[in-house]
Amino acid sequence: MDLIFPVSTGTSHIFKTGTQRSEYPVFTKKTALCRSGCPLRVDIPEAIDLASKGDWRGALALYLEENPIPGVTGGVCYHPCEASCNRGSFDEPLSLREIERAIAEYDISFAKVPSPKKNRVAVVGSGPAGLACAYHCARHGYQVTLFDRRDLPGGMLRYGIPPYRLPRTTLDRELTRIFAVGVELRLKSAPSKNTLASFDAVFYAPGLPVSKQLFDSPSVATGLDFLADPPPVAHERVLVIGGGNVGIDVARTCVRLGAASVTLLSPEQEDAMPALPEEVREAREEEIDLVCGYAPLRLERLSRPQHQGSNALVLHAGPVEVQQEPFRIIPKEGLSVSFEIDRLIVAIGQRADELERLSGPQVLSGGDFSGARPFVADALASGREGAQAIISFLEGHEPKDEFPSVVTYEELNTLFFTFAPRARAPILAPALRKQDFAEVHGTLDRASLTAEMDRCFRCGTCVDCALCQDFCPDISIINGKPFYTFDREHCKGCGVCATACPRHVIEMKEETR
Amino acid sequence: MRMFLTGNYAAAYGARLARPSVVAAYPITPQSPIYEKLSEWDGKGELGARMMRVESEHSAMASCISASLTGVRVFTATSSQGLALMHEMLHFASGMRAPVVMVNVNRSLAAPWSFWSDQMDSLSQRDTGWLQFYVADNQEALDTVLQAFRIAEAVFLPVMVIFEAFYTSHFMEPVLVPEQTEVDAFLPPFQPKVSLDPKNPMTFNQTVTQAEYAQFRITRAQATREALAVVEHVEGEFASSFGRFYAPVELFYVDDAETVLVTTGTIASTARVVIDELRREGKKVGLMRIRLFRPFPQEACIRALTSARKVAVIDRNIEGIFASELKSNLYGRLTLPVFGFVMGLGGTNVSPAHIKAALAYTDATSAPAPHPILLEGTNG
Repeated sequence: MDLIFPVSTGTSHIFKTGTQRSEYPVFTKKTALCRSGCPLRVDIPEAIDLASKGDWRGALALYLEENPIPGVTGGVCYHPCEASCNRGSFDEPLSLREIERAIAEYDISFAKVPSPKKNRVAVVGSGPAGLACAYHCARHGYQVTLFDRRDLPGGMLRYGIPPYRLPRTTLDRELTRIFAVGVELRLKSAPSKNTLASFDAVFYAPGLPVSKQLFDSPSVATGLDFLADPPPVAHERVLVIGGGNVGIDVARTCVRLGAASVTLLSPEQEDAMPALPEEVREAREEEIDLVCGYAPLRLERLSRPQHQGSNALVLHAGPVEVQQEPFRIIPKEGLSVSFEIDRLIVAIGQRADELERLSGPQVLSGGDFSGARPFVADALASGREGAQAIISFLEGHEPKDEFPSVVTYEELNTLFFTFAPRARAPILAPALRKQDFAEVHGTLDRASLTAEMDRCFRCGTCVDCALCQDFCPDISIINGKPFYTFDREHCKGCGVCATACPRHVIEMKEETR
Repeated sequence: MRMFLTGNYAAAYGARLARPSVVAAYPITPQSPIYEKLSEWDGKGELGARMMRVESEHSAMASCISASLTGVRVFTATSSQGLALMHEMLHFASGMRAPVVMVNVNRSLAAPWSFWSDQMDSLSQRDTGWLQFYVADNQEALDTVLQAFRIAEAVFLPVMVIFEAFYTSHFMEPVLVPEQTEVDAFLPPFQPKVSLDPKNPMTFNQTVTQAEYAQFRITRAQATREALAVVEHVEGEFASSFGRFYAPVELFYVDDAETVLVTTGTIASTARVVIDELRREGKKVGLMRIRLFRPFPQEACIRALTSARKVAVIDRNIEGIFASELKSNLYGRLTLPVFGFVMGLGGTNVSPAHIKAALAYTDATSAPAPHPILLEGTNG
């Protein structure tokens, strides 16, 4: 060959450029912000990655690892994962709750039943905290007995959350995931101290069953009692006191029961109401009158009721300001208002029941009862923590909770992502919602679900996109499981792979040889 | 087909008709419309080439070289700072004997910032081993791009086709755009001598010994010299295919001229009008437009200037490079005074009056000044 430039039939492989390296790439799984934002620490990006590859069962198994009832949280969770989703800094956060719900619906499988151990654990209260503790203890192999004083399991899930938010069919389906791993359920049962003393460990999660009251009158109901067994309120003018989720649930239940009008009185201004903004918005859509910044002054019986046969009441309320920490309602100057109503329901919070409790190092508690944030996910997390504490008490080893470093938005390389709108689940029109207790929110259809899962950045998770290989100037990225590795002989440590990686799986570390 | 095109679009049509496999480029004023036109065709699926949108001109040229070494035809375009950024890679292109064809739209180099016609960008790359054509109008831009591929692939050297910011790049002229079949007949597919192939790994451009380096450099320099004959041959073939003839130097009333004006690009277009006018007045003046700068057409210049008594060179670059190149090529062969004039810097206007003044000064002065005469221009 007539050479016009230098050609060698050898390849540049013989040049061990690795000796020039002062840094080297490290491939590790990192924690996504959504996972660190989730009280239950579900490995959301990994689950989404599995589901989008068609492995619904594998995806569900990742949820079930942390959360026994993803179909419930997929419907009612306040989704702090979405608030922390990195995609929120790019366009809009993922609809992670909708994804969880769909994954829970697409596969009804159970966590694996472990080989049984001898230890016996009693759990008091079958609300979300008790359910989670029972589930995690049972999955560990313990023999678990779950006590509940009511007729059916579920606690606030069943007796507090109205069916238009959580259909009972969904709840029952999800509860089977817990009983399938082997939990003995004893209903209508309040175990004595003696009974509980025979167990190796006890977990109390009785909740806060006693509602706070404002007026000593048989015609004034409290929120939880109302929700547990709603009386007929058709054609009545109803007023609900309380700006929390229970207040909203009561108000929306009254709408569905055919109340003539529903007014909700909240001491907080609308943007500061403890209820979730989504719930408040939907309440407004259902034509519930929100009266914000007012607190009740006094209640009187109307001397000349306009409607014959009714027990009309008049509630007088005055303008107030709410101070947090400590929580105080402070009256302020201004005109008071009066409401002529047929029914008043007070939903201003709950407290614990008087209860004689066993004590000792083997006794733990969780849920609302021990001050967990009043949300399903936090109660579930509190139950899981209880189970971990029981395991560590009975077996003497500390639970391992390892969360490698959290990936921030700045650490991602978003150049490879394109803008896409957030999927929104179908929602029932307000006029249709008022007719009955049909579920307000639907499940994402397959196409929207797939598109939504495609939006997930998979922060900190290697999805085998091979961009590191494409960009490596030294052809030094080697395929491997579970991660790529690098060719020590040739990698010059330039860091292009770490810069290119969209998900921050790769980081450069100093070479110390 | 006759179309009304800017110089940029004419060059883009030339590039597309040449059927490149890869176009790697980065936009820069005033070249951007070339990039945009090629992108537009790419978007419509009409380009026929892989369009690489890279992050800098350095990467553009690196991509062009690599693609060319896999044995395919490649095209790129740039201007000014972009060309300056490519500098390192320009040496690689010629050293690796990659027949890359690039359009450079002459634009003033910073500082200060400016966007107008000035030859300093491409003349700064004089010694990078690239062939350089300075063209005068839009038709010539298209035609020279086609010729450039033939020449580059015959001698395995990269070719730069150069025209001026705005005067050529953005002004519209009627342009004959040849049919694809005509171009295909003139420009057969590229036949590489050796090409990179992942299935048959090889190393190109490994480290060499001192003697090997010298040998490769000499081989390349010889290829550059031999390119002159190739250029003339390709221009002949082009003329018989398309009926338009170009030469390394364009001559206008030179045979009996006592004073010959030497210049390039669009200044030559204006100068033709001036020469016509002065000829009507009976003045024995002529024009030699230098079209091929590398390799320098030394013999053609000497032949053209044999009977002349004085030469006036107008440079649109502050160093007066065409004048100095001409002088060094005439040295020892022809003895005649060469008067250097620098005008039109930064795209300022070179009017017929300016050209007449340069010729009048040349007539009236017996010996050239030690440095070129510098003329501050007015906005064009």
